[in-house]
Amino acid sequence: MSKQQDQKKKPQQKEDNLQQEKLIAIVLLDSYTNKFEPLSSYRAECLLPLAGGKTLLDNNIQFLIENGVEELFLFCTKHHQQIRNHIEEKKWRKQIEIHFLYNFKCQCFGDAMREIDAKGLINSNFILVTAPGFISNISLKEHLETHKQLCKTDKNTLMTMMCMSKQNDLTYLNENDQSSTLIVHNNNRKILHYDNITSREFSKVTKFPFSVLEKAYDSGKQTVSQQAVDTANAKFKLQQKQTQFTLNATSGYQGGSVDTVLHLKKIQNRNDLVESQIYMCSPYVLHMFTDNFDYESMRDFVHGVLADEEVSGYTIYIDEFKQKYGAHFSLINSLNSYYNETMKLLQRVDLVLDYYTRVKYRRLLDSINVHLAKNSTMPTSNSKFMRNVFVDSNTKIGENCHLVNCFIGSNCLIGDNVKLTNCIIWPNSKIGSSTIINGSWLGSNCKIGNDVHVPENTLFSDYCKVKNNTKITERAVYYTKEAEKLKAKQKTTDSHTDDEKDKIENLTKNFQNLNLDVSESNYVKYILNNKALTETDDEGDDEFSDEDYDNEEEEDDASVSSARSEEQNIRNDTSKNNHFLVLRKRVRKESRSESRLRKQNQYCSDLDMSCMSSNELDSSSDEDDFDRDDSDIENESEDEETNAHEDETETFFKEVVSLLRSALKENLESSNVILEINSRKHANGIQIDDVCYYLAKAVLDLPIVLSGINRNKTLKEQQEAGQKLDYLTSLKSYLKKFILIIQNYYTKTKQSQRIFLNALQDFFIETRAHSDQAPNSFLDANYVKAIHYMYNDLEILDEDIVIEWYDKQVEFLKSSQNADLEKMDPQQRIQAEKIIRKAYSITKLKDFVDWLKQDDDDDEDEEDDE
Amino acid sequence: MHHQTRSTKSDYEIELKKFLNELKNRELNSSTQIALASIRLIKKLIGESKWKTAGDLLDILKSEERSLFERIPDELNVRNIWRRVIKIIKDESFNIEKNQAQIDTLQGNLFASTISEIIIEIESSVSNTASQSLEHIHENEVILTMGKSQTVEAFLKYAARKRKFHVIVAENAPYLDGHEIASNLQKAGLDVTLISDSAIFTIISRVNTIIIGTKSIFANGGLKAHVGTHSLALAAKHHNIPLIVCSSLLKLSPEYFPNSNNLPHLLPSDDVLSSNFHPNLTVLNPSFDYVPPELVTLFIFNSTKNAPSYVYRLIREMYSIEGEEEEDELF
Repeated sequence: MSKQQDQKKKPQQKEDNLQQEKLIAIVLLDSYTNKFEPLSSYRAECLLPLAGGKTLLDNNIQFLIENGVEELFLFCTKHHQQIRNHIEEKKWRKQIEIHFLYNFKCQCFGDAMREIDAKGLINSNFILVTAPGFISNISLKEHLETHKQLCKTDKNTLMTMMCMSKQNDLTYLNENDQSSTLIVHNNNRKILHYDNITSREFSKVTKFPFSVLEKAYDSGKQTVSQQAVDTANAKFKLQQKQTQFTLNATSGYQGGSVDTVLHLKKIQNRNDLVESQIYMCSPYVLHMFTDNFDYESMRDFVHGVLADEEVSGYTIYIDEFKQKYGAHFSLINSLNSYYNETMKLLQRVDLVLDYYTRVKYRRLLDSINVHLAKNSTMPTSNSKFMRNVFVDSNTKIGENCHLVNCFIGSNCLIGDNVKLTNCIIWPNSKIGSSTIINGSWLGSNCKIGNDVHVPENTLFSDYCKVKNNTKITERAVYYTKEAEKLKAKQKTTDSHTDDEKDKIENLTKNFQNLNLDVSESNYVKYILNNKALTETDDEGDDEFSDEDYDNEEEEDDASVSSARSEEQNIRNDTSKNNHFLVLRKRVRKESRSESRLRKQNQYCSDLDMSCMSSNELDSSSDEDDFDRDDSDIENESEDEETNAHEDETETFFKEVVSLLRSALKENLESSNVILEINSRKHANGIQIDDVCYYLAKAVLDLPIVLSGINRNKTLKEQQEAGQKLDYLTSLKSYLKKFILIIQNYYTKTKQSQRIFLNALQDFFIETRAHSDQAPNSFLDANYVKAIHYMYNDLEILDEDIVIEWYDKQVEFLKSSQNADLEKMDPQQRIQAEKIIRKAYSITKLKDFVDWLKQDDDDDEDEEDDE
Repeated sequence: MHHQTRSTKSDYEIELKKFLNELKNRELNSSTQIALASIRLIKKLIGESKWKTAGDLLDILKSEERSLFERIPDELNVRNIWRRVIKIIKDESFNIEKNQAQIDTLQGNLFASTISEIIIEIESSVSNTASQSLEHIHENEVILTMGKSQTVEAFLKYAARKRKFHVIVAENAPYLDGHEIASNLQKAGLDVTLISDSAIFTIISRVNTIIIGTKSIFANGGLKAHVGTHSLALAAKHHNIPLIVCSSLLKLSPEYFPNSNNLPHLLPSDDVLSSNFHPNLTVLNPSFDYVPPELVTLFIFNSTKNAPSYVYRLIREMYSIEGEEEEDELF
């Protein structure tokens, strides 16, 4: 910090000590490069969409807020209106104080810094962010702290440059168009030498001037004399090699070899560092830019400071993001890095999906890493073929789509049988059915017809249209004039109309430049816009029937370029993709179903264990509880007790019903449901017989509860409300689902079987599906069929016990049927009516039991014969 | 509902945001820290929001719980604490309604004191668990553990004061936190060997007891533990070596592991392969393993030890069950 600043700050120093200074960040929203062309031609770079319904800008602001920044200065040159609107739309102002700085004349980074300084708004330390975007879950707090410490020990500290180490990542630099930085620093991380290494220059030999060693020597002299002697020796050796020192770095990217060869502990040579484009600056950084008009980039600035170090004494330090498990920092500053980072992000959506936006998305459970916005639609059958997919809001996906590693923006329409692999699809695009796109990138508002094949590494800029049945062979960037037109339109709405024409002219120039810039990288080859691939008229248009599109279409005709002949050339087959993936999927599916089977077997053995204990308790009480209704009548004297008992059983019954409901909803394992039932049995103090009785009733009741029918309404009312009940079929499906549970409770003892039969009988006698149903019609329709199903298909019921139970019922009913209805008091009458209905149900069963008996006899006969 | 009553940004919301940030950036390292942070959060909410009766308070807590756990569905332990508090307040308010002599402020104090009881329980759970170690570790035994667990570390150190035994630590890739516990134990004077995870089956035949920690425990006694624990447990079963799980009671969760043919617990990331890789190469990095209850021999909790089959009864005592509240909607 300069002396001037110190004086200004003196009254506030107490506050400084308490660290109450507001944390300020300056974010430059323009990289002053053309690395994002053509996509950035009419869209601000910082507004490129990211997964999670965010843009790069949103993510950056979020990151800064999370790191305690309280005041934000946004500086923009191009597209300022767009950015302003975006900030308002996302309501960032509610979360943080935002100042908007704007000057469209700035040509480079240095201009921007000077402009900010001219406004004179910043008088304290600040964080400077020049990266268009980054994805990170690293906390800056520690690094801020070390920067503060540095400022205290070294009053001349100008800046701490945050870097990340990409030690093992030779490919990273290549693929992401990023340049590594050669930094030589001493043990305090003070920068002694600084140089950029682009990926092409990157070789095994790095060079830096000899003066660096002298600097290290100078600083070493002051502290440790012994080491200074070592340094002097080294200096002597080096002088023989003339002024330039060549370092062989094959052994590693750190300066280890320097140390061992020269015994020089004073410097570290790092060429594995990539600048994170986040800097912690003192306010004097801005003044430096104003003082030196020739500083254009950060590089100029650092070089300048290093050159003047002896005069001014200012120092720059570096700090490295800590490598720890799960820590992540990646920079997005070019098309390639955007593509690569998005692909990676699809596997780690948690980096951008913070806990507040997560609610808007659901994770599909039966596929890996598939996130779908809650208001997007997709057939569930698709999910088998999906992996690492992120679908934003309001998007529709057709049937049988194979999506792997895809980011699909909002408001997209994707037809049936589409195959997308490694794709980025920006908002408002449409893709016709049976189209295959591989490793490519669609800008927003693109329209791709049916049966189109797109090979890898193709980029469609915004508003591209591709006809039906096109096979694209040339890997290129496709760019439409229409986008340019739209851009022009948009420009007129922007405030500065004067230089609009210049800009459009510049654009074509830019493209020529671009050809040089990017052609060597492996991602895209630029084609100038006269080769743009546009669709002329409504040939392939049936898929997209909305009116907006038709209107646009008319405009298109005017702007069509010479694309047609181009298109004809393009119809060669390139589709040889996806075989590998499909195969792999199938293998996985098989192994899954196998494991499911295994699991089931495992649980069967568990079931036996868990129910043993409960059944042992009660196996003795065989006869006593035989007819539960009778025992109720007898127990009238113990009224209170039974009431309490009924309360408990009542709550138990309700709990079981809701438990079964949630079990269906959440697809719980049967063994877990049994555990829950048992735990509720303990909680309510219920006997095992009651558990069996009410569980059976609950299962039988499920079809009615789940169909959402209101039993108190008449059949007519129900039909009017669109409620329908197909009792038997839905019962069958539920029984099948819960078969393990039923087997657990009802196939162990004779007693439980009898209770089950009782419950069945009672349920069908008592139930009416609607209020005006005739007393026995529900029973007529379902009772015997249900029993038959359970005996024959599920094999829950044992025929001996059914016959035995039936005989006993008949016997019992005979003895109690002769009573006279008229003479009874009301309560007895209800009981008696119940008995009559029971008798009715028993008569219904007669045929079934006769059939059973006959069957039984036949069996015996057969056995006799044998 | 209470969102409308709270007009400006409250301390609770600020605290909540901070908490979520810390979770996201993995600044809260141990489960004790997470538990304490979340209980502070609840305390703030209770202290700040306006309520007259215990019923109001319960409503506030429940709706806040619901919205919070839509956001962090995987943080079972945080949810456990919320449910614990809800259960305690429910029970307490039930007592109060019966007496009806108490006034509101008293209620508040009462809740605060019960919450501070939970805090004490959290803070003491490690040492309480550790103090049971002498019953399970005997002279000259060989103990195997995997990865870093605060509880297990304390457990082993406690036993080492009286007994001499050998500890083998599996490094627990890709977290590699086994390295840390190994050096910690070594510093404490224990006899330690570090092995890679792949060497477990080779080594395990000479092991007497396996002692591990866990992230949380499902209602059926299954574990949600670091990746690799399932294979360790299977190896243990193969050699019939007892597998003991040390855990705080707060890790007991009333939830079940979702149907097991899904892979919902997969949180793939580039942590396994830190450098840039081609998008066609899928790197899977599941965050935890589900270990079925039949592979666990014994749980050691703060004050008790239980078999896995008993876990569901403990849970029934600790939490109120959701189904009870749904009844009203149903009938």
